[in-house]
Amino acid sequence: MVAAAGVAAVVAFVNLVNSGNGIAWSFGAWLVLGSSLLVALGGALLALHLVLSKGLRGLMAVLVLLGIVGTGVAAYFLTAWILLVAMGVALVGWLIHVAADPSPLD
Amino acid sequence: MKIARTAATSAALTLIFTLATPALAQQDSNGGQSPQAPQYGVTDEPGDVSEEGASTTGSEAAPGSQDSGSQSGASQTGEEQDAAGQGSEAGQDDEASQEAGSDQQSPGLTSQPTQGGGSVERPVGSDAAATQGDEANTAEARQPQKPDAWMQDPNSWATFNGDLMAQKYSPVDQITPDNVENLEKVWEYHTGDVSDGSGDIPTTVWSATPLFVNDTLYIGTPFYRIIALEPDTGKEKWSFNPDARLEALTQPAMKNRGVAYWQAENPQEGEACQKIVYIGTMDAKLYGVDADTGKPCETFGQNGMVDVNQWNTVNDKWPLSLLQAPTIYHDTIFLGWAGKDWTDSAAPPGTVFALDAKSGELKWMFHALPNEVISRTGTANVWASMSLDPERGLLYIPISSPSPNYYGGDRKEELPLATSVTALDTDTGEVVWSRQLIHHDIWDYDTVAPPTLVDIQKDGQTVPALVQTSKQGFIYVLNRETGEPIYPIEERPVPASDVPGEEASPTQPFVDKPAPVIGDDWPGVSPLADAVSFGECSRRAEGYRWEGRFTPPSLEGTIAYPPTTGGSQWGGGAVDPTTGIYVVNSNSVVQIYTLIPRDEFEQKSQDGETSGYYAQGDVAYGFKLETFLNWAGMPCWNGPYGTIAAYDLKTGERLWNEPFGQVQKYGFYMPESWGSVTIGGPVITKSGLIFIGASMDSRVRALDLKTGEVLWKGLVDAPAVSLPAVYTYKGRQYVTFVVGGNTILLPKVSDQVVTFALPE
Repeated sequence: MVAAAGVAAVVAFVNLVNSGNGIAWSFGAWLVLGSSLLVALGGALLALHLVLSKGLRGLMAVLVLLGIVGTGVAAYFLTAWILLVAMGVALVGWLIHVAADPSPLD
Repeated sequence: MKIARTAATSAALTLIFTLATPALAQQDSNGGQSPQAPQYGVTDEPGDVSEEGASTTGSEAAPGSQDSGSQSGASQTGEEQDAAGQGSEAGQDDEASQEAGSDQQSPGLTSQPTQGGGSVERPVGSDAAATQGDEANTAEARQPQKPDAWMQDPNSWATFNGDLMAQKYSPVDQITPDNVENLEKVWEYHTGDVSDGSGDIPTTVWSATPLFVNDTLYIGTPFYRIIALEPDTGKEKWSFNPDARLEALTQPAMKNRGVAYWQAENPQEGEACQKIVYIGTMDAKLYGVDADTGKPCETFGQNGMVDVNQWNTVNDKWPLSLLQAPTIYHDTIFLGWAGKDWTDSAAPPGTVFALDAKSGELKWMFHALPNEVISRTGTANVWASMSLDPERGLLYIPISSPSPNYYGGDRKEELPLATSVTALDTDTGEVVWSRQLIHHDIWDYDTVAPPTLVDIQKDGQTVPALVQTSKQGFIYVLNRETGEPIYPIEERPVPASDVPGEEASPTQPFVDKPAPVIGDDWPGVSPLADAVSFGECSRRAEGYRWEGRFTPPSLEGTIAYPPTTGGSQWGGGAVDPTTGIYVVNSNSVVQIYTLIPRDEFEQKSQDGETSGYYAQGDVAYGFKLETFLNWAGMPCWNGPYGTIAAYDLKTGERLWNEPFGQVQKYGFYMPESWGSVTIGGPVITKSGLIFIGASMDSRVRALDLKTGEVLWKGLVDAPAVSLPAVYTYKGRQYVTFVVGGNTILLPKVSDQVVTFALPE
């Protein structure tokens, strides 16, 4: 999940600065760059169990899921297909994380 | 995903129509206007020029004899009300014109009334004056003309519309539906003439068609430079800079729709200006430069420049902006102009100029409005491209609506040439026939596109046809020799005005075949926009006046569908002359027209609420224009917002009609089924392809002419709001797009010229 979000952030950055791709420097490109970074950050917090409170872990997991889905939807409307695939992988990671470690959602 | 997509789509659309549609409304009327644009006062340059012109030409006016009245093909049959009205009105206006004197007449020129209340001025003793006459003004009496040979090369793209007949058709067939997917960018060039409006120079709106002729690609820029490029590499050959005024004198933006080209019948080797490229400017200057060197032609006007504003002598509140590339035929330049409407009641009355291509001298000047009304109205000008039948010598002009555009209580005369398509004799400027498309226009339904001329096979006969698209969404198919409808045009009753002082026409011309580009009823309230606004859209819709097409503007607000931004715009359509298949793109937009009593309007002005409010001079009502949006800026009507359709002109049947393009905002693309508002037009090739930019998603596309399916699309720097050029050079077919962008579609401007071809 963290790796996929990290890759997504790199892709989103390339989309942001690569003039001529139709979305460069647009609000949408900035948005997905920011959201990808936040997903990576949230994923890292979950993966490293840095969030001690059970409630906070659950909240973080939900926020990360919203970030993945939202970034994926935004990527779809930006026609940023690599970013969309990365978010798909991140979603799989999130599911594995929840399945393997149900504590965040306890 | 579907819900998310819908929600995101709605959110992204929120501001699009807030910004785009009102701006589009400003843009296309008479070429656009802006309440913020500096007023071009009579004491400024145009006035000086006008006076100077008057003092230097200084001869006594000599009104000519009255024309023989109605020769309209339509009035000959007496079948059409408008034509009949025109016939009688023409006679009245001719008479009235003589009684009224010569308000529009310039010294040194003779004035001759022509049909429909119009008139023609010519220099005393000119050839045109000598050849004028009633007998020559009939289809039977007209001598066949010869097209200019240099314009007949099938490999070239020598005019704004590809050819004089505005077919926008290329007979080349190297790129086909089967191989178009392999199309690749060959080169791109950046002119440097671009502004996003953040600095001193207004934003640029660049809609030039590149011309390929004389083995060179000629480009006009929104800073009014001419650039000559090598067609296969994009390498610059030369450029010409007139150092034009870069000010929004009549338009809210720096605009240009390209250049025109002329060459002598037998160019003399080594002699300058045997081939000339022309460009007009915002402040009414027409430049002519040598097509091989880019140097100004000393023999053209004064050192290569004709100041067209010298003939702007009536209601000269602003200059006659020369933004549209002129039309050229038989050593003559035909020139219309763009101005600024919605702000004035009396404005410069519409004129078309015929100038000598070599010297720039005036041959004739056509006036569309009769003298007796010009103290109360104006415009009815020709700001779009024109078309020309080179074998018949007829010039077809799309005439816009008169000012003030949304209230006609002070101009109740019929004004038969206003909002019409009119055929002029290229030699004399006289009206050969005219067909009014809107009576007493109070919707700003300017005739905006050049009519497409094509011979069609119908009922076993070859019919010389003319196809006129319109803002009102009708497609008029006429016999271009007579103006008679090929498919029926029916006068039908329309709603009366309920505004004190206004008298809307009791009938308007309707066309059922070919099917209008938009539906008869407005698209209805969008459930999504209505839900987001908690029923605001529905409540407002119920409060507005809507009684079908041609519901007049009202005090409570009228649903205008199509409005001034709707239907088909200046790009017009394209036709395959071998099959009679005609293609046109169109917009589906809903706006609200509200007239505001002068007292209230002044109060609003004092409150500073000027956005969307237009003075219309000193008539009884100001005007408020708004796009039908909810509080969130979402369109309150159902899509699609833009489509492209194909028709078989032989039968009048519509073959297909598809949403075209994609809306883009903040980088997000909306569903293809929603389509996009478009600016620009299509081009057809013999191989069965349609090339078109026009959409707001910064794509240029190739479509299958048979189905409308998108076969290829390429990403460019901004919306390509122009017509592409298709040509062959050294055996290779190229497609060149000018990519200028238009802030009314997207806040994205560009100076890109990009050319595509198949791999070598």
